[in-house]
Amino acid sequence: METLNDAEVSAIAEDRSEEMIRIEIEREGAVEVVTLEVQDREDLLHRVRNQLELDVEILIFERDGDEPLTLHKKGRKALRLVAHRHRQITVKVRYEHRTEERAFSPAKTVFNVLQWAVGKQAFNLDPTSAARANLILPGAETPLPRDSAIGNFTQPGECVLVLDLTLRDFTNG
Amino acid sequence: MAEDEAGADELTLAAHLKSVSFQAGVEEGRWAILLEAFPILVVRVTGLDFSGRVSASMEFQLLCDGFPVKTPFVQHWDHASARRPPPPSGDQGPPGVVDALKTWGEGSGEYGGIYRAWQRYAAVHNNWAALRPDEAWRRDRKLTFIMEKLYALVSEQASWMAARAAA
Repeated sequence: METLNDAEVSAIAEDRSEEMIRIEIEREGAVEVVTLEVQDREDLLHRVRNQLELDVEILIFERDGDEPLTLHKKGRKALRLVAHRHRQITVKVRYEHRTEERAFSPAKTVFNVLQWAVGKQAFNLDPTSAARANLILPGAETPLPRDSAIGNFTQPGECVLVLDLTLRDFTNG
Repeated sequence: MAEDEAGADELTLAAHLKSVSFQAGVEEGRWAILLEAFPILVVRVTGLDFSGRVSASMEFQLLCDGFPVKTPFVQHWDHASARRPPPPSGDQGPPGVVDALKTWGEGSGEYGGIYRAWQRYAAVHNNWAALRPDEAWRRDRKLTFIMEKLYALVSEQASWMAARAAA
């Protein structure tokens, strides 16, 4: 029986590690971000589903991505994913006496929605106001964290998210 | 022991740099490491406007001694000349970026770094971190927290450039 020498064993281990993709995934309704290691194969998304026991209707997006992933992207070693049951969330942003709305993927970040809200496609704030702007859930005391996916803030089963655009200085209480 | 503590901060930073979220940011083109020489880390951050068509890049130097207990010191940086670029004036960037990159002094009179609640000296300026805990560094946060703040800052610059080009 042939045995492998140390160099061969080490080479195989290295090959295997190169085949692994490390994944962080945020799931709708779950606070905890799950980290997985999955082999870089065509059925990667299927394996993620199985490991997390995701229902078949749950969609998987790359964080900040517009569309759900259908094919595995080759060549990646690290992925940030968002699992959500809705393809799109209608975000309604209120500011002064107006409401602007737009559909976003649940994997888009609060920062991305804020960029839209202060821009010319929505409230077209002047640069000074835009620099002070934050998005906040109605009645909340602190702004939404800009690096979070908006899918984290919908109510279970809901695909509409109402937010207020505020210029409040939160350092003044 | 001091040596053990020094080793712990370097090891912790190395682990954060290998984390999924940091490496994903590298693969997504949001940031890249230009120099890793503990406790110094130099990164290039590339941000986008809302359309994704206009990009801006800036370089930053992070000083990560005592990481993660001590809040990193972060400053705008020019890696080629190894110095901090002059602060932008009002016609070179939006008010948020101009304010963040302004020259200001912390207690000892030295330059205080990026003027944001998550940065070492700004955090204690006017009790900023205590007033905005959601924006402040904590030892249980990942380095990616700061990288995302830098990404947002550079994206703000990209949005301003896009608006100027369209005007």
